[in-house]
Amino acid sequence: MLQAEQISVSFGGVRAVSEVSLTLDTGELLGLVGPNGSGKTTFLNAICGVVEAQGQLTVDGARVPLGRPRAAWRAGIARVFQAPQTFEALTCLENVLLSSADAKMRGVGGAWIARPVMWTRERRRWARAMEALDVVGLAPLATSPAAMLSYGQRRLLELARALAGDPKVLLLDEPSAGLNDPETAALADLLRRVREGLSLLLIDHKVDFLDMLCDRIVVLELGVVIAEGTPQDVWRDKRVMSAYLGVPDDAAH
Amino acid sequence: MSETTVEAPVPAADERDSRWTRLGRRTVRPPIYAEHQYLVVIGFVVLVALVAPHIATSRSKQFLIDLWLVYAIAGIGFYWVFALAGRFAFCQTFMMTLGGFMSAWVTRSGHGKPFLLGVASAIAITSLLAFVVGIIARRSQELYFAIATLAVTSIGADVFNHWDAFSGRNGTVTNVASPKLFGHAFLKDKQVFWLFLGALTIVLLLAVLIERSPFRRDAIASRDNLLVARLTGVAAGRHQLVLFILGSALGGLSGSMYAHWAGNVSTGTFGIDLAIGIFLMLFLGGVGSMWGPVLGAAFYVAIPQVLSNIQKYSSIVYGALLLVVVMALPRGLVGLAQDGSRVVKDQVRKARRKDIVDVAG
Repeated sequence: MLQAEQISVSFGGVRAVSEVSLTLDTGELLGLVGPNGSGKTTFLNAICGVVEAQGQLTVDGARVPLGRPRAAWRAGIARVFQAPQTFEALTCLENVLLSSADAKMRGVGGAWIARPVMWTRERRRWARAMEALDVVGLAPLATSPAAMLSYGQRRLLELARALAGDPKVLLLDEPSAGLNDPETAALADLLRRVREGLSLLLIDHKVDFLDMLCDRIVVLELGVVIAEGTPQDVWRDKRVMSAYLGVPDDAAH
Repeated sequence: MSETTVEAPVPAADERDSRWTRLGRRTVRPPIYAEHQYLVVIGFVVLVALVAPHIATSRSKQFLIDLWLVYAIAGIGFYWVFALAGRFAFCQTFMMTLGGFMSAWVTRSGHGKPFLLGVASAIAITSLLAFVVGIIARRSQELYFAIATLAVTSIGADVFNHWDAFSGRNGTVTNVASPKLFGHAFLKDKQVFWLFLGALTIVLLLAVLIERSPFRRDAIASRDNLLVARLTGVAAGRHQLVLFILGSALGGLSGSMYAHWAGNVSTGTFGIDLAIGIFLMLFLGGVGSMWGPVLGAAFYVAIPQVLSNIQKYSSIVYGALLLVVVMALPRGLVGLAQDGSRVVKDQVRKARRKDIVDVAG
């Protein structure tokens, strides 16, 4: 589904991501882990066009230009941020409507000229957005302002917004951050339910959460892939252990 | 990484059958579509049509009412540019000037084109200029965009001052033809009032059509977080450009109508005072509503007149009043009106409830 080849991101003289390649199959849930500063979020930013990057990216065989967020969305890549990015001036329903896969009749032409067509499409969009809100359990709050939501609810709203765009690939940046254990388990349950037909790339630090969900894990350190495999294999890898726990001091030997 | 525990009601499996599902998954629409905006426009226009002739007991009062209407049109344009698109443009008064000159040039004796064509040409030229400026400055945000548009204003004013064939000697054109529609000339301020009220009605309806469309929510998302809006598929750049063009076109329309009404237009007609004044209109009236610039323009035009009785202190009182309104009413006069209507509705609801309790014993 998603194929990233030799993706590199540099900030001035610093290379945050260096020639990272990975493949995400249809329906696969891939974990992306690494210590802080290893380039996980930067890699996600490169994939969804938030930062300029070098390399090649394809989704479903079609090439996706890097550095262009809307092109990434058009290609079917949706993103959920570590800190929920919702629009507080809009209602929950309006937040979800933003990402509707139906992008037609949303400009001044629909507002002033082709209103009947706009209404037909708009009604369809409302229904789809309500379905997405229902999946995450926020349908009863559809007409409430997003500003009224708690932190966890905003996270769910962002997830609903991503799902309403009918993406092919969903990028999740630490979705369990700020959630306690029962909430994390419920989120895992929710992700299991929505993953059908969807490829997920998940960054997280909670090992249990990753083990519960991931088919495969890729480990980054200093912007480079150091390990890849099933969760069990990856956690046993010595390079991964040393990346997280540090290399034993030579003097100790 | 934040590890603070927060109340996040992730639904448990048995709670997934939400109220919406139980209600048969009825259609839910954004609350903005449930508001009666068309009725409010009709009510407003009828009210102005009925009340304004009684207020306009002198020529100066009629002048102020007409001025209010023409400023309100430019103000709604600025609402689209600043409040909806989030573009800090500083060229609305320049668009008014350009509209005035263009319309005067098209309808001048040598060309002899009708008034409507003059207005259309004003709208066209300001739209075109806004398109060019918007494209060139598309990556400039906030203050940088303000500086870019200020530069356009400055260059434009200089061009007008030297381009005698278009903008007259020393940037002044006189003897601009009076407005004329379908053979009917609007010569007096009282007649012009109806023309301006008609134009404002059309503009208000166009504004309502935008409010009641996905265009508005996409624009708000683009304004509040450009990057996230783009990541969710919103054509943020295009929406901002279109709103800048439309808002500038209303500036052109306003300037054109003013020029034909006043019979002259110059580079000083819509000067720096009005450039700041348009910001004031929006903030006084309320940035969050299309009615903000309409109410703000009324306040902006009327208050100096009201305070003219205390000539000596009028500037001080006016400044203090502006300060109080901006500080005490962050949502502007519209916010005050909304709060007032909410209180009235609550009182009515309470009274009804009391009646029911009394009847029920």
